[in-house]
Amino acid sequence: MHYLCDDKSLIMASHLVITLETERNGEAVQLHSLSASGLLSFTTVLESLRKLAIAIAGDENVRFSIKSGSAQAIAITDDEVGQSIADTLEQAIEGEISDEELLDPIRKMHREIIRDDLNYGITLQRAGQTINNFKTIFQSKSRIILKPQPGFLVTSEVLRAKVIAVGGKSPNYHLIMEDETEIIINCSESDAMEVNPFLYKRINVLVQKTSYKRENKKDFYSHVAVIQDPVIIIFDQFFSVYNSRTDLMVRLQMLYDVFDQIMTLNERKFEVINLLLSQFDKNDVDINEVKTLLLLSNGFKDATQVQAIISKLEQRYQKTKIKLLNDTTA
Amino acid sequence: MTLPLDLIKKSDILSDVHVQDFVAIGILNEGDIATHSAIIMKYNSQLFEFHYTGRDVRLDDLKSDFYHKITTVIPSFEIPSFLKMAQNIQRNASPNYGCFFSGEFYDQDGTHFSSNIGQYMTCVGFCLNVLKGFLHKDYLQHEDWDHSTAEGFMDKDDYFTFFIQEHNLDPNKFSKALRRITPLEMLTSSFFDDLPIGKTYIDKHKHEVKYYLQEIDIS
Repeated sequence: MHYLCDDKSLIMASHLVITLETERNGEAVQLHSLSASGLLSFTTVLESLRKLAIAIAGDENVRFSIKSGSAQAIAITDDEVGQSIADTLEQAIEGEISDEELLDPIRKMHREIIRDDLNYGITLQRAGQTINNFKTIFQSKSRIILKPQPGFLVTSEVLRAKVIAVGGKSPNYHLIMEDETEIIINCSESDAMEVNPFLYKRINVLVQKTSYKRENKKDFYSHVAVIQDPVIIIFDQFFSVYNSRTDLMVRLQMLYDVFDQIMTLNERKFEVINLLLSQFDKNDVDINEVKTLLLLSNGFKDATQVQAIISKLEQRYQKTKIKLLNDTTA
Repeated sequence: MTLPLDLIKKSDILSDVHVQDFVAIGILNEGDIATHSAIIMKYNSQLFEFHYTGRDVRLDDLKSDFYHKITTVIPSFEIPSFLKMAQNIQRNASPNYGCFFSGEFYDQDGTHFSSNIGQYMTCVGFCLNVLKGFLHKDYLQHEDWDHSTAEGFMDKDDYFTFFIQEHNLDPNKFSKALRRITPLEMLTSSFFDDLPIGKTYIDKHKHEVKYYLQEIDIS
């Protein structure tokens, strides 16, 4: 993809240029005679630019340059990476970045660039154009905020294990996993009654796992359904891969594929679809996942087993859409 | 009211990185006639053309020089699900060429839903089939276009009789679906977002769109 080692491409490349133009006294900066505070600031910017560019592009795809005359730090990448650095900077200023490691160099850079006593310029040259509104964007915020991440993550998964206890006042059942660990699944009374015949036998269940970001807070499991062949294999394969993929287009195709699989079932397909759709009725789902599920289930939205969940997803879709439309016009 | 015509762009400037993801209505202009219509998409830094060529359905990296205008009926944040649907339609749809449309649509898998006329459609008809499948409602108020709009289509005085005989089809099934919506009308529709879009809006403005295309074609 990137051919930065050959000189020709460097001419075509994107340059992110940060220039320390004047120091406190308003004097034009000379790289060969910086004040102590000017040097500290400039090296902070340089080091932050290095960290940021590498975090986005990787070592291989970026070169750096320092230019004398005024003090200039330059990150040279191909156009695509250049754009993604620019996007990242803008998102960071807007408080849309939740990755602390990525944000740290931007924060340091930002702090220097908006200083009153030094005058910095920042431009991106790419595709023959010079974009120089970054300074204004930087100055629009005095502080860059880390986007708060939800404290927990809810995922669905299939567990196949032996039941070693069922019941209790607040009902749950205990599973003993292959590695001898014990997992407690919280459930309702009627769930417990459904699981009870499996005591000391193997069971296959679909559960929702809430994992917390805070260390030493244990995962919380809640029961969704007891499942049978061939649904076990479909769901097990689907959720284990789905949970590990972050690329949205890959995830969307997986939804198409799992629907295809479910539609080949001879019986109870709507029950299975209901189970699947229910796993996406939660807050951190992308609107495209919801829209795709609605497209996929539009053909049978009147089937009694799925009516309720489809209308829930429809409401979720409309609500999210209105919110996103307001965000983009604001 | 005149339209903000400068929102019609030539596709060679689509690479403008500051444009967010979009779905646009695209047309090809030959001489001063809009001859072909397509759906143009931008997702991340990739551009696509999605269209029915009269022979097959293609979803390719953008390579033809389309004039295009972004439609707001599909917001930027829904492009991933629209593109994914386009990929699945491309895999399965198999339209035939014919100047008919009466509210048919493709579902997300490219399965075609038609009361009478099967998968007979034009390039514009294809766009309408796709948009309806995604939006779950009609994009154009197609009943506004009557059979007279198909007069002279493909240089045939009586296109309908020619078509029915050529393909050996039941005229009763097809007569109500005969209508021609042109690529120019399709491009003009992209300035409106109150669905379904009526023909009167398009008739009122399609000439200014046409003149605008002529002007920028010359310059």
